[in-house]
Amino acid sequence: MSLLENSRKQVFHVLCLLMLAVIAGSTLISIFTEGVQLKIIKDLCMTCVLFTGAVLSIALGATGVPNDVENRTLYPIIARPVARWQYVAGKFLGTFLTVTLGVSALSAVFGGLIYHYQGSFDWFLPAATIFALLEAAVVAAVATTLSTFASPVIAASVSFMVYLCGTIKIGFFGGMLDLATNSTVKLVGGIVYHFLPNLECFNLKAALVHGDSVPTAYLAQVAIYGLCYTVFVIWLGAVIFKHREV
Amino acid sequence: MTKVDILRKLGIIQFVKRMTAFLTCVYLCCAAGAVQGHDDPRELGHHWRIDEYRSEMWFQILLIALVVSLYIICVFAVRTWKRWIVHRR
Repeated sequence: MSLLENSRKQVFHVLCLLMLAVIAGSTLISIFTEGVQLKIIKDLCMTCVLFTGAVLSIALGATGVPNDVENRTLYPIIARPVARWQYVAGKFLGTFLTVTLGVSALSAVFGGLIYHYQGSFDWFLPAATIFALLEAAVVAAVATTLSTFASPVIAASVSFMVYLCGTIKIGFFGGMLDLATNSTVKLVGGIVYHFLPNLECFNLKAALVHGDSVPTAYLAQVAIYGLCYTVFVIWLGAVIFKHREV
Repeated sequence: MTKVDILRKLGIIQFVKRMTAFLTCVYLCCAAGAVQGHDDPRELGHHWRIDEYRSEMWFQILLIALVVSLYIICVFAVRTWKRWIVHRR
């Protein structure tokens, strides 16, 4: 139900079409860069895939539960023998499957472009797409959990902030925290820092563009981390929603 | 007097030699800087080569396990306490 509902939303169609246009346009931009044409295409297309995954997760995840409350479609669901955690998990899965649909369509076009320019398929692309989807899962989990108690605007804004801070967590936020001299700022910043998702590790764009190999052990660790974080955040949302009066 | 002699007398050849040496030094320094920059995994975005990322991920997994364990212990303690109160009455 959530998948059908989400796939009919305007934001899904508009964002997917816009990013498909950007991916198609990347072939025109890269004409001017002699010698590194394929690298520019890979860089731009992977950025589009990552950005689409995150923005769709935020836009669909943050509006799921509040829309059901507003349209009163939540009450017949709760009246059935469906546990609250099952409802929250279902909302998350609906959002994630919709994001998977969009990201898969973009990746298919991206793979076709690589095949056209390179003459062979890049086997690292499916792995990079799976990790982009894992990042989207983490962001969707955060947005769904926030939407269980906050309004769509607040849930979307906070999710976007978490996404932004998560993508620069160790590279920028960690460095800023080291420079802080006030002990209170350091303590609060440290707590926020350790609870923020580390979204940088899901970004395998550099490896895809330069053809570098990433250790399998590292990929396994990132996958375990992504799954653990997603399940934890969804569990947190289920606990909050269980105690909420609707 | 040839053209080369005139240029040497005016010091132009010396000037060109010095300028070439200077520009070569500048170029070599810049190139060395660029090479050093490209060896840094942080600048390249190669996070799989940085230990901080691995340790932070393990730390967060442990933190999640700790929070979940604490929640389970708290829920169990509250339930036991409630049962104890009902049993006492």
